[in-house]
Amino acid sequence: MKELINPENVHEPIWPYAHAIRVGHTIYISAQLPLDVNGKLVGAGDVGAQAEQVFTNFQNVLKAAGAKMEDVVKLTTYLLDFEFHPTVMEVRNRFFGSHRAPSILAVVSEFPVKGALLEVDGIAVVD
Amino acid sequence: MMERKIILPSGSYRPVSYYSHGIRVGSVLYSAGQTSRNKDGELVGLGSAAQQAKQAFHNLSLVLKDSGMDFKDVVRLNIFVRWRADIPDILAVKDSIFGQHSPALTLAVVNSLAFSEYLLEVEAIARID
Repeated sequence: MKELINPENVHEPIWPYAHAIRVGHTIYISAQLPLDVNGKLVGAGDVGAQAEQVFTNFQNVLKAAGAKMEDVVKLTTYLLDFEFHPTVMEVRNRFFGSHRAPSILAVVSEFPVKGALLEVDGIAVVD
Repeated sequence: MMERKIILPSGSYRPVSYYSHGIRVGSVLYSAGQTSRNKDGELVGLGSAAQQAKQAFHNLSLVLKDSGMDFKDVVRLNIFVRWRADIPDILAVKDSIFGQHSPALTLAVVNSLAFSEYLLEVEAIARID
């Protein structure tokens, strides 16, 4: 059984996709963007503020799927600029606490949303 | 409740920030991006994609082994590379390890990885019956 996850406290997906899909115990989370609930870009030029929004959206999507940050088994972080790394890690670590999710980081040239400085996607597994 | 095991192989380096090399949940392993660091955390193969690929796949083998798995159990492989021109060398290493087994593969050329010296990172999802 597949369940599409599009929580009310996260903006409408910007294209035809779901924020996440849950299949049994596994949740696949789409790349989360620095958009508020109305779909408006937050923190123009401020990667700390954008990371805060991205991980808030990520957490809200997880919650709606019945999962917690501790359930994340895979995390991919895409950055526009390598210099953002320390700031994003600081925010990430705050959201994850002591949970150390297997991770990878990639610096890319562009995102689909103009002004976005990062995206984060992942996989979670609940018991 | 599915058994959950954090994978930090003794033969591999300590992760350079707050992550694990992998998590096995039930029959599935999710690995972190594996890099060209040796067990002491030193970068291997500066400037050589082939050498870096060998080390990264070796590190992946340690993660698989610690999960009770092998390369043949890999179902999905993501390879992030720094330079397009390195792809043939990297795939040659991959093919020499995987042989006839062809997991689902994504290759992406990126502007940078977690350290500027990294020419590639490889991550995998594996599943055992």
